[in-house]
Amino acid sequence: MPPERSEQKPAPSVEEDPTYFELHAYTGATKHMGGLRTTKELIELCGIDEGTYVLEIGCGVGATACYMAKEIGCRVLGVDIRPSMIERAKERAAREHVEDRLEFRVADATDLPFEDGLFDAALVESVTTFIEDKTAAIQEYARVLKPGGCAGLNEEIWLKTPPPEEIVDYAAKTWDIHTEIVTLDRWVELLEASGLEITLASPRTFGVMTNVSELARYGCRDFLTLLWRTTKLYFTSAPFRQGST
Amino acid sequence: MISEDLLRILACPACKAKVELVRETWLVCTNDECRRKYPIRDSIPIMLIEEGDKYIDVNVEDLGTP
Repeated sequence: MPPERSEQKPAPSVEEDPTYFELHAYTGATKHMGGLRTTKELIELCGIDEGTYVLEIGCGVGATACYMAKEIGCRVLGVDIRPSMIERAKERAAREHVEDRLEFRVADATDLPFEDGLFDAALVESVTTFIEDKTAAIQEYARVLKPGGCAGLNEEIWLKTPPPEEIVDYAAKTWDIHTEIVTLDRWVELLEASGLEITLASPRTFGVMTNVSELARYGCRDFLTLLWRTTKLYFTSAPFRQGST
Repeated sequence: MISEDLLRILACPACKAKVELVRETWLVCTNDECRRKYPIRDSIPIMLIEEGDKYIDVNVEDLGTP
């Protein structure tokens, strides 16, 4: 007999378990190191233009995918491992009238559901850091790129090692990073081992104010929605309140 | 509704064989040794191996509504 959906254990609601990523999916928030400025830099470095077919891996709520489709006019396929993120991404694409250039799939970065050599560019913003098997993920990025295609990654690094224990704890609690954060040299090793040629590997440091530029990704309506959902969650979710104080 | 273009480039995440659309709600791996089936829920294809694993032993004709 085919398994029924009702037999599956339902995932906890965001009120019951407000994890970092489910919170983003619920509120529609997006957060990448360096904000929109870094996204623009990455797009430019990858040479993404109107004719580029882009795979965005770990697209979250679709902010960058929609930005590229709208501002550059390229075709983008976004994948994320969380269905809740993809739902938000689709909502956003509809709101921004870019559905004709965007498609979304639920997929795991370490097992991408595509044939080899399909995409001109793969954009990955603050995703591989969270993945245990970084080698498997990067091999997949390389596999789905056309020969000469470009992978653009914006990932967290330690500037100094070993990192202070309290910072490691903070990263685990605040951003759900339970995997190894690596140095820039290690990222280069991982990328080169997957057959990718490094054209630029450069550290950036950001202050809190830099991330405020993320607000530029939101229109007035999106920002108010985010504010409303966050406020609502504060009153309906005890775990969220405890985490916020 | 999945576009023809997208269907053409989709592959099984486990074995990378082509997938075929069944009754507009399932993507079925064409590799007889793999036999994974991926549901399309709310128009979103769930291309995760653990999702495909659940339906390995389910015949295509027995697949219900995802």
